[in-house]
Amino acid sequence: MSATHTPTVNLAFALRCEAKPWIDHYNLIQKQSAKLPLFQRAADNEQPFNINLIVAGIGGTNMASGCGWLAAQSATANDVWVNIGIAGHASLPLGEAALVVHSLDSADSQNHYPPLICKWTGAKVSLLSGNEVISDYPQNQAVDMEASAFFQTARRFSSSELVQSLKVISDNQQHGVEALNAKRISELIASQVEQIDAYIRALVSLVPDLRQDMSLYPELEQFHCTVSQRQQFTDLSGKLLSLGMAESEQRALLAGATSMKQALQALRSVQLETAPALPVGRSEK
Amino acid sequence: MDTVYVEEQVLDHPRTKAILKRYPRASHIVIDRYGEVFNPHAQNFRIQKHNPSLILAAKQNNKVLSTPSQYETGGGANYYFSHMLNCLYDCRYCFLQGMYRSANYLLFVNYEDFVDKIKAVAKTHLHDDKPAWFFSGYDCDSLAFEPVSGFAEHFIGEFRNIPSAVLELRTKSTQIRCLLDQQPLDNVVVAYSLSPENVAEAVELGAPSLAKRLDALQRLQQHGWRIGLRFDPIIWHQGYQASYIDLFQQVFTQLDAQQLDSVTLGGFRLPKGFYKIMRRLHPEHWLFSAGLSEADGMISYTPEIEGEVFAVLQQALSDHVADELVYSYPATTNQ
Repeated sequence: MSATHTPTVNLAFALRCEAKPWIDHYNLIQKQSAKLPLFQRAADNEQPFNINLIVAGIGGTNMASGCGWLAAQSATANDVWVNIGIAGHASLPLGEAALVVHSLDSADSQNHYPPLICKWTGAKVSLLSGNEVISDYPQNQAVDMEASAFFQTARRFSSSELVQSLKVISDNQQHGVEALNAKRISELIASQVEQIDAYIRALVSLVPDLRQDMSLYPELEQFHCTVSQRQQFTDLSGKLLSLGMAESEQRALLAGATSMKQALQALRSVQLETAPALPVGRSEK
Repeated sequence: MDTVYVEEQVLDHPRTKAILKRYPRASHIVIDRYGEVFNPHAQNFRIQKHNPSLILAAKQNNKVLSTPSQYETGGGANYYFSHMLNCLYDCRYCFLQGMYRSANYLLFVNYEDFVDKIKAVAKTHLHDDKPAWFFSGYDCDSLAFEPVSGFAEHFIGEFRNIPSAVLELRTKSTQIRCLLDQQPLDNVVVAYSLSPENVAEAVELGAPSLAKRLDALQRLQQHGWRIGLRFDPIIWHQGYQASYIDLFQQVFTQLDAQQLDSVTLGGFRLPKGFYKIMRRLHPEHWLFSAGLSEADGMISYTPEIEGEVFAVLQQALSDHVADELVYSYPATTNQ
């Protein structure tokens, strides 16, 4: 009955050269049949979370459709979503990694403030996302082309705390975009993999443990069971578990039941009458 | 505090400046309206409780509101106001988890506007038989953030000049220095929420222990402040009779029952919508699984359970405190 939830991290990039250091870092394998460039790795002993990495293409439209497509493939309600890429900034040094604390869309002036739960010791930036390359750097603001669309889309599929964007500064007033090429971008991103990876792992640690298992106890499989009854069973069984009644004790209650209705009644009456035994000592937060 | 959001309109407010000085290492992020951070969809209260941010803002409307009729005490006009939304503590039964999407601390720094409104409302009750009561502590703990907010210090000072009104500060906090540093007022009541130690340990996460709350209460009472006791919400559990009888003995050994302002017993109750959100946030918690039923859109203990619990506790309380000081607020209607 009690299933363990394996977290999933969805990484969204605009460019292949931005993604490359991460594909290498996580040893990701490209899914050949996918319609968009998708790289994956299932959780294992070394990597306690599933990873999906998508290269969506340049610009907000591509990012939005890429994230939507990825969500349709596999997303669950509490996946971690991280957009990683390059950005320009008037004064931050090249290669510096910055957490986006405010996203502003230049097209519709939509603001988003991602909830900041995990510690980030590097730079933090407000980020202006435009449809075209923004060459004159605004005051105190980084610039890119995808983050706003990323936030607007990914937040539809997960909790905002788990949806974050990190940018590596690729150009500034002293060093313009002219000197950038794929190799240089990969180098800039690669230099920050360790720091950003630590942040991703911190986000993963926040993912709530979901109870998704709707399977019935074996002795109940013989009964006709509606969807509603299955949900009631999951609810009741979960409540009894939280009250300290183990699965084996619950199953003992069902010995005489001849229908799903009777089984639910048996569980419900015990649930209503069971006063909780308080744990000894201070509870964990 | 890692992050402080500040509404642009309160950037120059002296209270904002003083608070920001306390968090020099935090990121200070300027925003237009607090709702941009506090209200968006797709936020998870439980996740945010790991590391809440502080939002400094100005309260624009609805600064003072009438209390729901079932929570009125004493027969006079009753109002509440919230200078802050959300609490430093993490009580598992707290309705704030179901009411707000965000667990960030939202502090309204325009205390002066609250006071103006309170004065205006109090003026309308000048000729009432009983004073108007103004409750603080519905949407936050009144004292827990005192070292930063200076809330009680400011409002108590103001209530010195509003003798026709009573201020009730609801709290679990031991931040009482500002109260001990000044002469007590007749029109201020400090009301403590109390639970048996085993309940407090299990569900009042981050709040001071019962012993610390009792110590604070004793010092306040000895200093001359009016004291209220709020056994609310009452949590049904195995051996609850012994837990609460023991609690009452501890309380009334340390406090002078003759000097109490009031004692209330409150039933555990939640709007159904809040309950569903809270259970979704904490599906593993026994609090949301035990003995509850729904009536008229509210979730509470079944009338049978609540009736038994209230009868036991009222009887136990009567051994310690005069009946006329005790107000009972069961969630169900069979009392």
